[in-house]
Amino acid sequence: MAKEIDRAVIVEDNPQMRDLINMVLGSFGTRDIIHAGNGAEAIAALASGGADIVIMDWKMDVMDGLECTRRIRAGINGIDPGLPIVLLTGVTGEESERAAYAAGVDLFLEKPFSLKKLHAGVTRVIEAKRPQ
Amino acid sequence: MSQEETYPVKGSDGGSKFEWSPDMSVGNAPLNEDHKAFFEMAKMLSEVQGANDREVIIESALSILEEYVGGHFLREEKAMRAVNYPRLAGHVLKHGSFRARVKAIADLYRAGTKSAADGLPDIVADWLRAHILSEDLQYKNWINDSVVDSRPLVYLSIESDT
Repeated sequence: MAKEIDRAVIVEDNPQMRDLINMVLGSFGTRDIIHAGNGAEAIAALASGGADIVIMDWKMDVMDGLECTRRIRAGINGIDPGLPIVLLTGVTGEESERAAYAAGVDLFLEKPFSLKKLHAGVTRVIEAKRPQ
Repeated sequence: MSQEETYPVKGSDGGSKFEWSPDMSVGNAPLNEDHKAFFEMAKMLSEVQGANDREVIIESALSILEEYVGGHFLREEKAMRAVNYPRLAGHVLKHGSFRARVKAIADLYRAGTKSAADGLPDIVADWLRAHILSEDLQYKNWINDSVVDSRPLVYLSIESDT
């Protein structure tokens, strides 16, 4: 990853999964990692501090990952609408993938995941977002 | 039974067996951080019983554990090699043995024997604690920061595959 990730937001309702993703982001060298249990918490965290990457679950109470993505892309509460978003989900299938990309995610990744799988995905998204 | 297997299961400071304690410090921040992450992973796995998405969490954790093992062992072995550490060969053998054990558990789990992962939190925490105290602390006075590859662990994990 040419650009290191200073700040990341994990949007995930399962605490163990959140810890696991936190551990993996830590192995990328990221130290400022914010946890959000649903999309609404993520919006609040992003409005106050932004992020270099968002790792987003799909199915969550209060506000799910696709709705949260749509709101980010709309620039709600002053959030950067171009924020890199990786959807990391247990939802599978082409229909779901199409729906996720239509909502605005940059990458659709299925769980289970590994350190290298998430690193490759995050790197791909960050590189693609870099100004030419 | 090896010396590594005779250590008590409780933390050496009397705390949780899933916690790193300062007496385990090898004097280098990235290596200590790697060790802390292993304990965190073991703790997380010990709490996953009955959780939603238990299988997908364990499946992910097994892959990540294998990758962490590869990256961390490479970080240690590169440092020991750089200073011609005299006990390197034996240390590498112990790494290889643990790496093979984790792989065997992961393979069994992926083949459908879900109970294979039941003992994993204890296996990781017990082995790590014993290994740090009996083996890693011996290289503490040999290595220094300049010989430790301090890149984020993911890069060492990728390098360990090549």
